[in-house]
Amino acid sequence: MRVKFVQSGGVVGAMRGCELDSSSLPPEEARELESLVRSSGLSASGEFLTPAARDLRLYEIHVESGAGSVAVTFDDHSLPERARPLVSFLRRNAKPQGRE
Amino acid sequence: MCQRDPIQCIIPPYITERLLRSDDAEVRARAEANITAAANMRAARARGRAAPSLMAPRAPAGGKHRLVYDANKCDKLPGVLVRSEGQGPVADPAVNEAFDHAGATYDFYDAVFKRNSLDGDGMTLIGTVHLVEPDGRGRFVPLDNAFWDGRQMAYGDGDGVIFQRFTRSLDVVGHELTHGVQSFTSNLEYEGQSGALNEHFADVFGVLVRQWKNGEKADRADWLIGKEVLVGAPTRRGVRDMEHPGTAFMRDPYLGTDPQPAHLSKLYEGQSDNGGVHINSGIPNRAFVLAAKTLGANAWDVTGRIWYDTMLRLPKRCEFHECAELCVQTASALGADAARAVSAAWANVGVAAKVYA
Repeated sequence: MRVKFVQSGGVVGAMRGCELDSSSLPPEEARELESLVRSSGLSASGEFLTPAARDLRLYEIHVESGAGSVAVTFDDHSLPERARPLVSFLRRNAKPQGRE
Repeated sequence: MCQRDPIQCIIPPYITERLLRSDDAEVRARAEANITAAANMRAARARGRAAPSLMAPRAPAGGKHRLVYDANKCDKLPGVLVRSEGQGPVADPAVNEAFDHAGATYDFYDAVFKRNSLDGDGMTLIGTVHLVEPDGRGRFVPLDNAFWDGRQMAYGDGDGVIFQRFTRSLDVVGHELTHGVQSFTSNLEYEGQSGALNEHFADVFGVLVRQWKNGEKADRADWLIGKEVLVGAPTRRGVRDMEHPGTAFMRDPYLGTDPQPAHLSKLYEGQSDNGGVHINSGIPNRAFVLAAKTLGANAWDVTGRIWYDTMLRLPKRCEFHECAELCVQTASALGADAARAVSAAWANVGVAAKVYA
């Protein structure tokens, strides 16, 4: 399983992110990542943003696995409860990103 | 302890339908009440989308009216009311900063542009301090952010390592409140170049509130946004530098390097950040500073007036060149020198704008 994550926005606007591949992670972390993805409920691609809000942080998550590929974007308010532990895990692994 | 109130949850329709058939009268009554509440909420949201002013609580006396809430280590807004208009300072500095800075922003818009609050009609200024967020491990941690949710401001306290409480910065509070002003005026679409302009105007009037409050002249002012929200370190000076975009933080272990371009040729064209709304705002930000320094004196008097009138007239969806042209057109009303200065400022960042005779 491969997971690409980018956090952007917020009033600060800094970009952070990570790319994780469960096949190259230590076994315990790989299991945690796969478990968090399974329990996140992310099954369909889409962009889910709060229209009237400004300066919320945005989270782009792209998951590639044997089950297929899912790409989603949430903000702080639209992020589903079930996906919060995954985003917290990814944020802990994220590092500053340059502009693409 | 922050707990979620199940009454505030939206119950899926199939469950509500099942509850309506319950033998228990109390359960049926709650289901009916939920249907009514959900319908009211949907109607209120639809009204809010159509006309934000319908959502705005108006000040009782029609003038400056502030309410500051404490999230009480919870992630729900607005929280518990801790200071209202007319009440003196409290022991909590975050509450007083949110109150005082909202007051300075109200006074700025009133004194400089004769604007009565965000909606021009005495809207109550609501802010919540000490907002937290779930850490994914069952605990709540201070929020590293400040935002406008469409009805009110919200401020976190920061992690204490990179960020400090966001209420410390007058320009950040002015920035968030200007998002409110925009929601009642141009309401620039929050993506791509129109989104970058939305962020740009929030920075412009955020920094002008501070300069106005401190009496800083354009030629001696500093153009940093949010320096007070960062814990000091040699790798960071602020969250944005309007005069020199791309230099507010450099090789910072957490923030990285400031991604803002200072020229249209370096426009960010990626998808992140709603198409770079906090990134590409560096381009118009620099144009504003160049115009302000050329026109001199107090930036809020002439350049601020040009930008304010432009902000009111912009269409919801527009690009930098349309904003630049409207800026120059607006400046023309103040004379040829003003128009030339504004046109040159936009040209300096790569955005051509015709000077009207």
